[in-house]
Amino acid sequence: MTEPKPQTPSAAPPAAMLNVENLKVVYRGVILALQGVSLRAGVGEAVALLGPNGAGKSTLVRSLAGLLPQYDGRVMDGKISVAGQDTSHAPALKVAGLGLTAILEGRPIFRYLTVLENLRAAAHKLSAQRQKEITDEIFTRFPRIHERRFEQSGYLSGGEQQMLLLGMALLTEPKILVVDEPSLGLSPKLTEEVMRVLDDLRRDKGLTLVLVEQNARAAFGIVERVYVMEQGRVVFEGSAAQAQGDADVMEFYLGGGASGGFSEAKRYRRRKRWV
Amino acid sequence: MDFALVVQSLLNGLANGALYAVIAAGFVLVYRATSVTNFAISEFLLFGAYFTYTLSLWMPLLWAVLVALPVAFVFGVIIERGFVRPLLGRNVVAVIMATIGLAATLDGTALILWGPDQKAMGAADVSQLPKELPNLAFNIGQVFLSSKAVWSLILALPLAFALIAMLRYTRYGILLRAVSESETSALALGINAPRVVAIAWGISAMMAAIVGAFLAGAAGGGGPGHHLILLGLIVFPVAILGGFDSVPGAVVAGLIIGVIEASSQIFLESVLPGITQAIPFLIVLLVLLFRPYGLFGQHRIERV
Amino acid sequence: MNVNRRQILKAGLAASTVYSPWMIAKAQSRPIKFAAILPLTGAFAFAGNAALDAMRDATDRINDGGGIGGRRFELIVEDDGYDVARGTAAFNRIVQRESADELVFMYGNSTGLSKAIAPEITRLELPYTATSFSNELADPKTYPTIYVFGPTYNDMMGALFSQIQRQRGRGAKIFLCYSNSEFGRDPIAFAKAQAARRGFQIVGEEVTPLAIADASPIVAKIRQANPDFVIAHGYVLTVEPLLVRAAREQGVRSTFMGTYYSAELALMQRAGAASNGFVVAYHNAYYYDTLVPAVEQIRALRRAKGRDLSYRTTYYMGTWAAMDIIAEAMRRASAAGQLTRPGMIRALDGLGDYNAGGQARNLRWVDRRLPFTKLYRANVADGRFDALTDWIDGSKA
Repeated sequence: MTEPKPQTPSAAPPAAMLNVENLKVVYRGVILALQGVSLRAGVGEAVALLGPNGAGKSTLVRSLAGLLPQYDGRVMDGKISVAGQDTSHAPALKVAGLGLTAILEGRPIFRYLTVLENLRAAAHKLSAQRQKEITDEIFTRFPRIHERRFEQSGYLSGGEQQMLLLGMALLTEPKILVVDEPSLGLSPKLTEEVMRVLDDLRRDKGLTLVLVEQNARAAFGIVERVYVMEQGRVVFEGSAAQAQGDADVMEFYLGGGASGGFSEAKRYRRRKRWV
Repeated sequence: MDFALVVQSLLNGLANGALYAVIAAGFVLVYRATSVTNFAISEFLLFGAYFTYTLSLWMPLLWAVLVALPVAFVFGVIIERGFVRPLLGRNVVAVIMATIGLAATLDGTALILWGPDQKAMGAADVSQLPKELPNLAFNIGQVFLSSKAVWSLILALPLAFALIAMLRYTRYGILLRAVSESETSALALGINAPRVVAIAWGISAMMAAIVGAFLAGAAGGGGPGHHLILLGLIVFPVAILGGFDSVPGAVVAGLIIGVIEASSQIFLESVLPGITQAIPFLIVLLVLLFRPYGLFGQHRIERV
Repeated sequence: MNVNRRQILKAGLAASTVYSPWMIAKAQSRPIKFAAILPLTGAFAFAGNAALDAMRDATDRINDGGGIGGRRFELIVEDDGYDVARGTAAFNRIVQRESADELVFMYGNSTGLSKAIAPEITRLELPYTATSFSNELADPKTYPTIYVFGPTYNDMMGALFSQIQRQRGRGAKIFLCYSNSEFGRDPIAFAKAQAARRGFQIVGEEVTPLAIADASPIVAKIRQANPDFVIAHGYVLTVEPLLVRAAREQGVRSTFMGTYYSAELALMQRAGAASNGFVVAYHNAYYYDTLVPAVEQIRALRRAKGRDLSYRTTYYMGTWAAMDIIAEAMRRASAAGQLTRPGMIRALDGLGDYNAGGQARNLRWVDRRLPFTKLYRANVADGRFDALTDWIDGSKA
């Protein structure tokens, strides 16, 4: 049984779009949620961030988006840079201005707004012309969204809400797209569809994609590299193929069974390693 | 019952209710954008009236009323930046206490800035008569509409409808509704939530200013002064009847309460003296008992 | 009125302040003290600050003239924001802090506050007056130390009614409009009884809050009732201007009348031309009545002190008159070697024909009040109130 190699060097592209070094984050001044996380993603690269509930994935997303203050959190140490600029303590608006768009966990659409209004809200800084172009593109990609565009978005199904969110993200014209748990609560078929859309978007737009998932199997198909997190640390880094080929990673962190998912991971053994 | 008197009370009520509608719409706007119940709304009225008064010393009253609007807007934005934003995210009680404190501070500030004397629009000292808006009073048979009523209907009420339309259709309106739902999600999309909120406070102060100007006698006697603070209290029954977080609700509720008040003053007061003063609060009681979300309050969307 | 801003800050926003005049007390004598609880903030701030202004001037005048029998006159002021609870607390603070042989007079404000502290004032035998002209305070059997430095609201109503009698006689139709407050309700029972006795008809009665947003519904009722006279009472120029303007706009021709608190120029300022002919009861001098000695005294003092000489309100004039009377009583009590609370009562009761520089008809108390008032009529063209009558004894009305 080989130990997972926490900081295995890998062949990341040289131009780092996103670079996180030794990031430490605390909530309410006392709760240490990230204990020194490093991560990088190159231009146009797709990386997955995997790990169980409570591993610190969402904290990392908030840190990247500059939204820690909204959650009473703070970067204590380490550095984040987006497109070469230090954003460790930058407010959300600055980060967004650099082209990083984060879709937070829990499908954060504006439920009382109609679908179209959600899209208009996301397009707040676009010209009318550009907004129309992108909106048309979204409607082509997601015909369901077009059909339901005048409805209050809170009444959309989970999959439709996810599509709407991706549309909204597109309207911010991102360079880096961070998506937190898009598959949550979706059927395997829908999950597959969401992943396919994400992959298409990344390729069409040349996006840097950071996909945060519990559902490792779904993620493997569309990313180049994988980070696995546990208890506020990165415990594995490597290519998707390496991760899939690493029995330990598969068994202890990502659930060894064919169906994937952390619910099937052997909890008792995982725990032993960190006690 | 005298038919002319019924029509009369209806029109008076609508005209006066228009003022309630405007101030309540601004109040509710702030509540929607920030979940802050602005207990200093009466002082916004007072400051708006005094802004109009000060400007009216230098220019015709109609101009003063209009120029006071941007001045009040800036005032609202300053209040938001200085007093409200530092408190956002604190618990509700702290913010409520802060707005009550803000009310007291503004009371004192107004007293220092403008002094305690009884003033009238456009009159710098006692030797001068007030400036007035052009007299638009007219009557049709026995039904009479005062100049103040006409001005309220043509100058203040459209502002309330403009606010509703703006919220519904413009990009800013959509952003404001988005921010009011989730500031975090809005920020994640790069929406400048702090600016959206500051503008909401500015608009609220602007709406209060025009109402303050009318209640302080821009058309129809009276003057700026502390009594405006008593008049401003009507905003709470109106907002509660309207559903507290609904701007159209506040406008409709303002008109309804205006009509009920006027009718009660004419038809009930002689039977039950004092009833008119109590009616807005009776309405609040009934609303809270039977329809806590008011006329247009948001129902929760329960699907996810 | 140009109140010194620091004054407001000190007196209004800080809870209390002791005003010390620019005068060094003679080392051997203790000061004689006068306490006032004034509404320096809140709905009556305009009246409270005008009163403070007058008290400050009057204090300077007394001390410049050598104080009271060589003792320095000291003014103590507390703000109550027109709030009975705050006023009562201020009252308790003052009477506990000050010794009974120094503090010989107390000046309060509202009807509500005066009634609340009246029993305690009676117990302390503390001479007292207030800016309220409530009928209940002019009752020496119950409150043997309380004075009303002017007519009560009943007296004012009586004077208005005698004018109505002259103008219209029996059958005159009257519409009463008053505020739903102690102040507003005070003379209403008397007014109704008077109307019945004189054969007048009360054709309408309207109770309103102290401030209203719109007078149109009331005017609609006035139009229906079609009265000869509309009497508004219990307001501070928040309702009267709205009422008379809406009424004139709607073609109501009735004569409008009001009491002391309507008798200020702000009525004309606020209501404009509509207020022309508005009849008010008022019992002091107006600042522009230059023939009245008190006005010359005030102007001389303010000129000497380099203070603003512009118009002083009726609230200033009334307080100045009260201060003049109190100071005279103090001098007489001091001359009699009785500058004590009971001594003050005796001195006040014995002032007789003293007329406070022409600001009172005389000081012959009737049930501890001065029931005389004049009626004035608003003259918008001149921006003044013209005297309509000579002194009317409201108690005989």
